[in-house]
Amino acid sequence: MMNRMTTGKVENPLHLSFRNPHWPPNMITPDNVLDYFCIQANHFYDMGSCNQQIRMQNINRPVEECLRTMAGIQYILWHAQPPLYIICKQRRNNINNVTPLAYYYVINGNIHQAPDMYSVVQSRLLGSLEPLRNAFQEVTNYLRYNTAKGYYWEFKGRPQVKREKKETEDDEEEKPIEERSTNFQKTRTFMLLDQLLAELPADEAIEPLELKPATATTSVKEKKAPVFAEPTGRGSGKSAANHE
Amino acid sequence: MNKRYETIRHLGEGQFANVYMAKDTETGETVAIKKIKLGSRDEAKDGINRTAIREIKLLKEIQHENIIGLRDVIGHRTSIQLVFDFMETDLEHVVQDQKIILMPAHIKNITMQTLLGLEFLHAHWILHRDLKPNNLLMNTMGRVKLADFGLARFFGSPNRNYTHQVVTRWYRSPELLYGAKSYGVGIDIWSVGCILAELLLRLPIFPGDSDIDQLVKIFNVLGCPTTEDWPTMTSLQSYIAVKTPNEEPPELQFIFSAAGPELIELMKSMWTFDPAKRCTTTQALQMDYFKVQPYCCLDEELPHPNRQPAKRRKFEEKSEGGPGVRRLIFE
Repeated sequence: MMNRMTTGKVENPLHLSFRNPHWPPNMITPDNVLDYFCIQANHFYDMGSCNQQIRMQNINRPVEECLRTMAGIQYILWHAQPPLYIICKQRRNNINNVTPLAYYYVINGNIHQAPDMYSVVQSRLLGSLEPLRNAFQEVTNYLRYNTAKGYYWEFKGRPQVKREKKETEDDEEEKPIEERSTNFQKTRTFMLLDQLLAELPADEAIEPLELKPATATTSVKEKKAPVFAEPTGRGSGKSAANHE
Repeated sequence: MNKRYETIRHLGEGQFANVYMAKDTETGETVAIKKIKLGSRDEAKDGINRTAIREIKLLKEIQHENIIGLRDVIGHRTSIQLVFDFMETDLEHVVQDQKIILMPAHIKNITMQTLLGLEFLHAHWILHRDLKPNNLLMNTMGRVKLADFGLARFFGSPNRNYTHQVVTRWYRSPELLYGAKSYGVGIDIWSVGCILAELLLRLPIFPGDSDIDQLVKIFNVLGCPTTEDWPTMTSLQSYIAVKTPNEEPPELQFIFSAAGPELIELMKSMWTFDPAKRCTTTQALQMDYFKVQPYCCLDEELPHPNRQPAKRRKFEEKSEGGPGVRRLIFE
């Protein structure tokens, strides 16, 4: 299980994040965030894209203006709300027709790909089914059948087993968290999200409303562990604590 | 002018000729007429200058859709007029127009047309010897044609020496810079490589301001050739060992950041130092670059600069910092 996860981590862009080492994140502005994004080391960036064509050809015109007349893969700034920026990867078929392919969140210099609906639902389903399956497996150990009594439960040494089980589960949860995000990311992201929430109450605008669950999923994604239900629980607990 | 052609307007003035746009009253087509300057009385005594002779001699014999067509030659008393296909623009204008963004498919098309024209020339034992964006003309149909055969000549006679002072410096190959007396198709291939790079970067890749500087600029990008790369290098007339300041040249992939690996491979083979190992036009056309996506666009899809003819070119010549930079040197 763990093995499969790690190989999946290499291939699945949703499990990756990127940070441009040449730029301090506090220097990012809506004007230069695309420059921050468009470098060869960034695995989210396609070097054959229109953006790179413009860069290679040394064209001194606004990028948006150039991109409008080009067909192909392009990256544009979709939404800016420092320190959060959303970059859209799109395929332009002609001047008026664009197909969005992916969205990327740049938050405090960290770039993540926004998950698609399918992956979100899939991971949530997995996250709820996995503990359920474990529970059923656990429970079958205590199931007894007797022709006279029919089915009945037999809980022998139950507390011990449960405690051990819990401890091992905790270990499993803790390790991946350590791997996937630094302490800075963990604390900082929550801080930023809280700050954003305070600045923009959910009922005020429509756009931030859209963003909020999305950013929440990125942060969840960072901390996604084999047992999936946990981070959501933690996130909601935290925000609840903040509301008080 | 001749009765058959009606002059429409003056297009521009070159070193040896004036060019006019004219209408062919017999066919109704637009043509370009190149009126050779006769120059001073001394020059006129020897007959007309040799660039015109070369142009007539070679172009009369060849006919290809990627080579400028010489339709007619008019000898009128003392003047000579060459009638060519009319071409609206040239690649220099395309490259310098910031409004145009050349997509990979455009660049592939232009390269392909250039190579096809050149392949035909080389197959007929003709060296162009002055390939540069300025001499690749393009019409509104998107057809690219090689033009200006003032330096072109037949090649292949083994015991004949050729001058190495050909090709505008920025597009000149290392063997010419080292003063090679006999050379072949490689010099044109090198120039095509430089033109291709200029299409990609929209700037000349090796803008040397002297022959030595030219070599240094080349070596800064491609690294210094070793005797293993190019065994005959040291025997060339004006060979000098050039030391480049930076030892590790950057990868071509780094310079042409948006180019695919097949394109890089093509450029590497066009820029092989040893002319004997450099690819030929036929080999270049067989390379993977022309077999992978994105494929060539249609000719009509090639972008055109917003035409501001004649005026613009004159302005550029003035602003270019003295005429010496791009001027040709003759034997």
